[in-house]
Amino acid sequence: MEDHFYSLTGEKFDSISIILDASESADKAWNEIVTLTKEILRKLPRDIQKKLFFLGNPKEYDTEIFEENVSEWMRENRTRGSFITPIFESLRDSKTGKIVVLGSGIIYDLEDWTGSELYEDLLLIKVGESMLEKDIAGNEIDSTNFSAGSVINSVISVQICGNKEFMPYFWDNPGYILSNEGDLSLRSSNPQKNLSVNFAAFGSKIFANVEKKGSRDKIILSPSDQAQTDPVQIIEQCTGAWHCLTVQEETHFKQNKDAERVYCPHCQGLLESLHCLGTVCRQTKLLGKIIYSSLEKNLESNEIKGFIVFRETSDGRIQFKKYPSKIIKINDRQISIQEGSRSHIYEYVPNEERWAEKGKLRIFHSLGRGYYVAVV
Amino acid sequence: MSPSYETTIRVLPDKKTHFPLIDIPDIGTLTLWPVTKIQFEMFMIQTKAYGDTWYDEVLQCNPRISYHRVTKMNYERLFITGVYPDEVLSFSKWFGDGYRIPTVNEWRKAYTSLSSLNGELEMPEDLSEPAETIWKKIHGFPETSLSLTKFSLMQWGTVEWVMKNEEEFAGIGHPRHEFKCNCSNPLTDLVEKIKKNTTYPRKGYRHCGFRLIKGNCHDE
Repeated sequence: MEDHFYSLTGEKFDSISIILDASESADKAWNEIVTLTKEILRKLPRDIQKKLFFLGNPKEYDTEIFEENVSEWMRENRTRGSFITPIFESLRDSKTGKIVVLGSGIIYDLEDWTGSELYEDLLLIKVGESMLEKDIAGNEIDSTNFSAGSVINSVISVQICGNKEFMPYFWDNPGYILSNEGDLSLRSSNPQKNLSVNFAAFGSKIFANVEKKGSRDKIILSPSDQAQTDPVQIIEQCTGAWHCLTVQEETHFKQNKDAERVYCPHCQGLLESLHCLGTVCRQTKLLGKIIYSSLEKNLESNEIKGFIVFRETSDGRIQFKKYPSKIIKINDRQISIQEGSRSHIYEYVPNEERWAEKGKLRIFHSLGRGYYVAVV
Repeated sequence: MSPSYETTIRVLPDKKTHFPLIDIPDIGTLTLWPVTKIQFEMFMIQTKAYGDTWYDEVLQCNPRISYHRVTKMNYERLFITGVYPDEVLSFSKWFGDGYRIPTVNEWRKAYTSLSSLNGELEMPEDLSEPAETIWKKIHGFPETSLSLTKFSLMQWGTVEWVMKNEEEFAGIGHPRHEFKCNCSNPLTDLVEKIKKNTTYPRKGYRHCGFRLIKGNCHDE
């Protein structure tokens, strides 16, 4: 089954393409088009990806040097004619944000794109004559009713989905939570500033639904060429710092790491996780006790619950770190989902087109190469 | 029995616009249909030869229609008409080496050749998306799928510019009555004669489109 690493970065859902009409039909409107463009560029947040085009020309111009070059660019594009196809063809595979055209007079080939996703994201700002042919519906407003700050719709939520096999097993933004509503997805929990996320997942056809005020974008995500999907590599490269167990804790870990049954070092009760709920431990702490106090000492209180990964160093020390996600990849076919203080193993069953439970995670479950995962 | 088209002609996309060309032995390679506005717009975009003012004037002759909205009632609006022969010659230089306006004889030979063939043309691979859509639409009209002269729109297309000699051009063709009434027989008559580099009011040529040929012989 295929699995890949993906990156969803801020500019993917916050981008704008501005298309200027420098054609003969916009001669009289040109000064106002330039003024409006300057205003839009000034009001756009800095981290938004901006693309600038001229009607009839697929070449992308640099918005950073707009003011000093716009007159020359206008002369360069004046006789091209009011056509949008060359730009739409160049945006078709990469475009994700809003497309704004500032112009005057008919865009001859606009009708060829009605019904396309690009057309749905198109806002025409009329500076003089309409850009739409008679009887053609489109989102066109008069420049007098236009506010430059309104061209960017702020993102309300992001939902990452895929095919039936989709199963994320690592994500580095804790603002994303697993959602079981409908098909399994990763969903941004609350309106938040940072919506960027790196994640690894089983499945294919992975995409992000980006909901904005008044619109919705679907972003097809491509696997990253460089990042690994090996769980040990992910643990090493993409998660926080390692901490050491005490000597007594190390002894207990080494004696029990491959055991079927593991007992609490404090009360000798049978463990179901690293959080002992045995009678004796509950006498000292009402809600039970984490068997290794190093975990509480080294991790923030909100980090302790979930998966903890252990490794043995070359000098025999045992180290641990927090795994940031509620799902971890166990091997090439299986994952484990943390459910409260327990964790079960799941495997995809193609005939049933679902992930089916395949037993419990061991207290210390081997990930291979001396790495173990446990749940608190 | 008429010869089969399979052994005589083939259809392939042109390299510039990815619209279909038809290769007829002993005559040459012709654009399968009169040149469309979409093809002419590619030329305008790439060469910056004509701007909005010029195109507005041309579109008044025969308004543009999106290939998505083409029906058997309006398909002539796909084709560029109202252009002068010297404008066609600029386009032909851009379109490809050796392409030009057909001579009267070449046009008539192609027409006669297609009239004598049976069967349907197979849509080539690598057509552009608009060309593929147009192919399917024209093929779907019962009237134009009946014969190759109609599918190629030599019949029921536009009037087309042909070359009488190096200096003189004329219109030829047999459009539908709805597009141009009082049409003559293309095998015997020419219409709309014009000399090179002369311009009369464009609207007088509003029915005149063109197809291009890369001819095997220039035999007028």
